[in-house]
Amino acid sequence: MLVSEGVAAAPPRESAFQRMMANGQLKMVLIFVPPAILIFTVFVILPMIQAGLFSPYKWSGYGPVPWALNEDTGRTFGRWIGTTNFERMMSHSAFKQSLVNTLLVIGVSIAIQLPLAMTLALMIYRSSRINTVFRLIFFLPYVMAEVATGLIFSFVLDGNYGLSRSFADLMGWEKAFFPLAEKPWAFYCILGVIVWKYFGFHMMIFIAGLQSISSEVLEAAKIDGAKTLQSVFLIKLPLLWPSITISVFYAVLGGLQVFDLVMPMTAGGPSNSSHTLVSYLYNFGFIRLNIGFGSAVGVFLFVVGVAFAFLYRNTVQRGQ
Amino acid sequence: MKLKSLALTSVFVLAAGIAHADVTVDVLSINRDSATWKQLYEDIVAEYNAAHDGVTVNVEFMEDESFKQKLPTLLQSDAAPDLFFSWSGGVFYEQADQGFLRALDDATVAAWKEELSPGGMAALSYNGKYYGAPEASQNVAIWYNKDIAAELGVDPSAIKTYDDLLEMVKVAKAANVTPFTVGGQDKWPLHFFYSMLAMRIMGQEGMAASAAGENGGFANEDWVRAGEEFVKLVELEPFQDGFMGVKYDQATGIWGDGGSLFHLMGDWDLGASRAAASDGGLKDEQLGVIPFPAIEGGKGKITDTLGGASGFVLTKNAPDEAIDFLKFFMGEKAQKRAASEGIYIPTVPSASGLVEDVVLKQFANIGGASTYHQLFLDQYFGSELGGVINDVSAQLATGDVTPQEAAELLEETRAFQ
Repeated sequence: MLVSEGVAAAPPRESAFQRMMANGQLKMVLIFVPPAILIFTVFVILPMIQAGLFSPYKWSGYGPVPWALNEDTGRTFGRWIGTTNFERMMSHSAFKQSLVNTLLVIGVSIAIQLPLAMTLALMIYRSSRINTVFRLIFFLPYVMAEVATGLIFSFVLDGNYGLSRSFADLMGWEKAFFPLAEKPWAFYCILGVIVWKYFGFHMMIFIAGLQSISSEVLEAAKIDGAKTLQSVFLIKLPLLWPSITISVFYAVLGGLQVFDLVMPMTAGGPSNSSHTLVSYLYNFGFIRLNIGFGSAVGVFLFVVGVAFAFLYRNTVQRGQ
Repeated sequence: MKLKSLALTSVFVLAAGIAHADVTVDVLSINRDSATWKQLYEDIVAEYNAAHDGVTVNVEFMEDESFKQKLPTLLQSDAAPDLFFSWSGGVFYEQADQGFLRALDDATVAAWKEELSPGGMAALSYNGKYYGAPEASQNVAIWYNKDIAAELGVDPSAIKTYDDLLEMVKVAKAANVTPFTVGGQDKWPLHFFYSMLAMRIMGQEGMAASAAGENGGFANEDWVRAGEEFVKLVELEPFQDGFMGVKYDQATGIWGDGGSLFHLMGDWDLGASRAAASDGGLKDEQLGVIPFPAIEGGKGKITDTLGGASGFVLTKNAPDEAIDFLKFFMGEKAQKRAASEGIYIPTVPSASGLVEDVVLKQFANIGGASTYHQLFLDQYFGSELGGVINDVSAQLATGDVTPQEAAELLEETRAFQ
């Protein structure tokens, strides 16, 4: 009431700026926005631009930038090679494998992890003490540090003294199974751990969504004779659509970033078969002192991520 | 107020520094896990500091991996050390090429070559300039477990050719004994097999020609044959179960627990396997060492050695005092003590005879009789090509590339460098 009176009393041509001055919003903007922009620029935008600028160079990482002149040698630190880094990346078998693996992570997240999270969310979303306990248990893997999780599973899956050994003994097998050392299995083990670790996170998103569905709608459906499955598929899931789209969004972007689990479990092996895009970037870019190449992979990753986010926001999530 | 006093204090500190003409020499080393090795460093530094007024030497230790990652940034900063540890090889060449290192003058080089190992100094040279002093000598050979050999009724010391080795692997397999333990996940333990075979097949000249891109670089019949010979071994399934999921530390623990007949590894494995094994590892009398066997029709000799050549190098802003200290640090006195205490196998020729440890002595002998010492290939060829050598060695061991493809992959990477 007060606000609308103020607006009515003010001159008709008052700009948005003046209005913000008047109600103190401008002060808030000036206090909070510059630091955010500064931090975002320094830690996100600048490194992205840098990676883009480094990617056409062959550069070992010595010197401030590849095009700087090294006074001690009279040459630049890096060497301009145009699109060679991108061409090499695209033709590299380990890169193709890491791309397939990353797509697998995304596929498994969407096809297995989200339905699992949804099923569990539907079972325990109502508030009760026992449900709280279950939520906590299911959420625990998400809380654990990725590297610790990877280490734990590298022990669990070890055929000499891990659970794999105990299982083999139990079954009376002569040979224990070393899943992380077998090319066909190594990456599926990582996928399994990814599902185990992150389903709780998606479950929480769904629980929050389910709890916000009005009980009146559900009651009305019940009175009209809707069965449990009918109310799930015809009411809850459609109403949960915004939560599902957010979950898918996180699953895809998270899938593009998997790294910390891979390093302790397989370090990308055996024979570079279990790299994700990020572990590939790290191994072939930074460990091998080939910053230009690493930057090229980074640029690829960035383009894929941004293209996905842009498309997704403008199609699936449109209007939300 | 506070700032002002701080500024004043620092002025005083600076003035005091100038008054005594104090020079600080900062040394950056990788972690020396063995207590005796660390003690050796500390004693040498203490002795040097006591004898040289106005010079203070500080040694810092850093874990291997973080050392590798921080060094490029560190070398470009004001906090660069004056001396730092180097494994030599491609990374060192890059540092020298980019002008981050200080070269020794000719007189110093000539004087040092009298006392230190000329071969070791050559490993720390680039384009005719010398940048540092060598420390320990490292060699790779085949270790064998004498108890297991006795049980099998075989004598590995009789192995002269690669075929002999393959025969013994078959004997072990038939008796359900694992022939080799290897930490395949790390890849580099597998690259020893490929490297050794390549050296035995092509010899020193062949290796130099590959590095220079002559004879098709790596895409020639010698490299293909090295792959084929390796595959012959791989087809006998010589490694322990799940070898691709195990790192070196674990693998050497398995070896130390008596898990296999052979172990292809360097002399450093003595301490490492004893530390990683569950009950102190294999005793001296259980351990045998043989050089990697010769190969039929190969140009390389059985006395050619593969190993490391590590030492300390100078950074470009290092003061003259750092050169003086380096000579003392890697000098005869320190290396003789290292030899007699069994800390490492010295490079200084006059010290190598002092190695008393029965096992290390065998490595010292192999190193002493070396007709051509090849630096580890994954370091010699630099981080990129070296990384690919490790990759293809692992892929050959899992059957993911053919010897022909492996050679082509190597050549493709070399041509790009």
